[in-house]
Amino acid sequence: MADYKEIKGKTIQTTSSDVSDDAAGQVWYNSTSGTFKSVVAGAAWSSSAPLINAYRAREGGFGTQTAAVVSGGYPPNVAVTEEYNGSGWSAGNNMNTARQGGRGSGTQTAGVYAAGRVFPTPSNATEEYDGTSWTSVNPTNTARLVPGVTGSGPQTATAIFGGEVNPSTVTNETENYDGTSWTVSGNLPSPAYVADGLGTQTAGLAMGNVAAEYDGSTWTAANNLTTFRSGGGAAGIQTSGLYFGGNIPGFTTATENYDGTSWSNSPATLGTARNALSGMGTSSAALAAAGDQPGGNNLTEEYNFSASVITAAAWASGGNLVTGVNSGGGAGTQTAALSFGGSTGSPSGGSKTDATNEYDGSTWTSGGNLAGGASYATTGSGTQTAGLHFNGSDPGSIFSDTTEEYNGSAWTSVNPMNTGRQYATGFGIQTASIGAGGYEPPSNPSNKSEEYDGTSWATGPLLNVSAFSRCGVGTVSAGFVVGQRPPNSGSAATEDWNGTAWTAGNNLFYTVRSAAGSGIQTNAIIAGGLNPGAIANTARYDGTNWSTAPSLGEARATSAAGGQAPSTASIVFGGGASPPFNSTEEFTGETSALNVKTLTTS
Amino acid sequence: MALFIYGTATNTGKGFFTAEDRRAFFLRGFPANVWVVGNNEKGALWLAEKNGVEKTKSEAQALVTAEVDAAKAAWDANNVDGETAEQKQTRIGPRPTDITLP
Repeated sequence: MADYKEIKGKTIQTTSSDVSDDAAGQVWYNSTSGTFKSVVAGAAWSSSAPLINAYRAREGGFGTQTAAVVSGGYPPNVAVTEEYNGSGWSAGNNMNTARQGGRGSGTQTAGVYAAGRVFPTPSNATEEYDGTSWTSVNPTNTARLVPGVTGSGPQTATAIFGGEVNPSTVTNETENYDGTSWTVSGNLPSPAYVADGLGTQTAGLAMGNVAAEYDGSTWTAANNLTTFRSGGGAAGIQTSGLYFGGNIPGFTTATENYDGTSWSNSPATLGTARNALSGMGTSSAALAAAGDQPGGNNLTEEYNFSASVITAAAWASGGNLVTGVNSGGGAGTQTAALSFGGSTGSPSGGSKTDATNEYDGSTWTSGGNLAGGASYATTGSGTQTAGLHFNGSDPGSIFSDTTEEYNGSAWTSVNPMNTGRQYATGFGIQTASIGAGGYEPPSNPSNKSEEYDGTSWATGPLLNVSAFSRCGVGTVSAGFVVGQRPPNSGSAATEDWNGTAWTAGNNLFYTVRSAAGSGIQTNAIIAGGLNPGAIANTARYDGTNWSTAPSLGEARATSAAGGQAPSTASIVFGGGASPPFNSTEEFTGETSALNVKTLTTS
Repeated sequence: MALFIYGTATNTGKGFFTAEDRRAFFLRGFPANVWVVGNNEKGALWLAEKNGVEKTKSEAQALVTAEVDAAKAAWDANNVDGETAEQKQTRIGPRPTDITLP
């Protein structure tokens, strides 16, 4: 019998720990555990952040798992575009023609979207996307709904085929696009309503209602899916394809792989059965977006075939606060957070507290009380052992200039702010913090910002907009504020801070006020807020653009965050209205780990 | 088949719902300890494991509405002479809004 060296050309390594490189099939002996191990590649779907807009299906998608676009959909005719960056969705510009059932191919910065239906009339509209805007170009020769598309083709070389040209007619016509115009090409073997396809213009594949391979001019019959269905998502190329979901009838989670000859069932299945969804990417890194669930949904799932196990980001419950509180201050991280002040009564603001609570990652315990008494609508920054509390409504004034420092056990009053206020936002550390906006006497939203250096506050540049109840994240040299009041329904406005000036940033994709946030300017997450009721939305900011992130378990506003927590390990606590929440939620970002298996003889 | 299961359960803190739970089924908490979870095996198991009491959608909605109505009443009753609506909102936060369960 051949041994490992004869087969692989090398001996099995002995290591004291498991390998860390991505080498599927590699075998080694772990001398610590006394076992033979290997890295095993496998397929799996994992959930990702939802699309911004719910209840859409028959949208068209194109691009890759890390840079995708979906646009259009129903009900009844949608022009909305969203872009995916590998972790969340952000809003793009609308298409010129709102419609459903169109198909797209190409990349996020050079895509094409064709045909569909401007309900109830089939459309021949074609538009090109440059990563920012849509431009109407030459239409298809035949208007049609839900044709198939060679979705991995570039903007300059793709094809659509089949589809419904009117309620009583289904076509087998194919059209090739060369980046300028559409040309009629060879017919499908049979007409197909809801044609599904993948591949490129010169190596395409149709599956579902018709099964055939395309060479750029001619279709040849091919093997069909192991389970007949249509309306699924497709990704990949003619020699390595992936098909998922669809309607059997009955919506399915089934996923199948195509090897250039035949289809086989994948052990991986979608987390949520759905039909009329978008598929993008490759057969080893695909993306499924939206679709009917029924009733429509905005779910996103990623498919990966790799030696790594990818675990999706999610919020989970943390330890409960000693007492529910809202509109208090927060500081620290997920394993060392600080909560202080706020209101414990009903309605909000009805019972202000001076209590401080410290969190160790699982349990909240009482810390030293605020030095100046109860403080509501206040702000925190810094860490659990070097925290900062400033502004708020306290016994001395409802527009307080109070500033206090926390050393891990007690608060000490220090030099006050220059402008007393409440509902300001802030970010930074105890020796270098920004305080911005708020509500100042007599009853005015504020555009004032100040910078604390560990000793005193210095007046800083004015914000562009006077407002309060913002969420702020960052450092004294790079931060941002987002969401605000007025109006009561909140705002999508973002202002970036570069250490010397405030400038308008790109808008968040929903309006909000009183959200909580953590991270840094270029990698932040905000959670919850009001618009005008409490919401569970969360969003990521990369310093330029906003994208979706997994939702909180509870809709909550006026909660506090551990502002020093990285965006991959955020924490929010308290909030709510009446009575205030005592709950905590902890965020775990997406992780990837090698799929190491122990080899056995059985 | 209904999309969601409705029930009441007390949030006991850490571990009440995990990241794994969130990946496995829809979960959303509401006032009055009402929880709405995805109608699949894992969602149903979660509610049972948390000693949850399953409710119909209308029962769950009634619990949430009662809690919100009580909060509205408390907000309405909390007044300061001469205070504007804007000042009141700033003092005690916005008036609670109606919540409709999914």
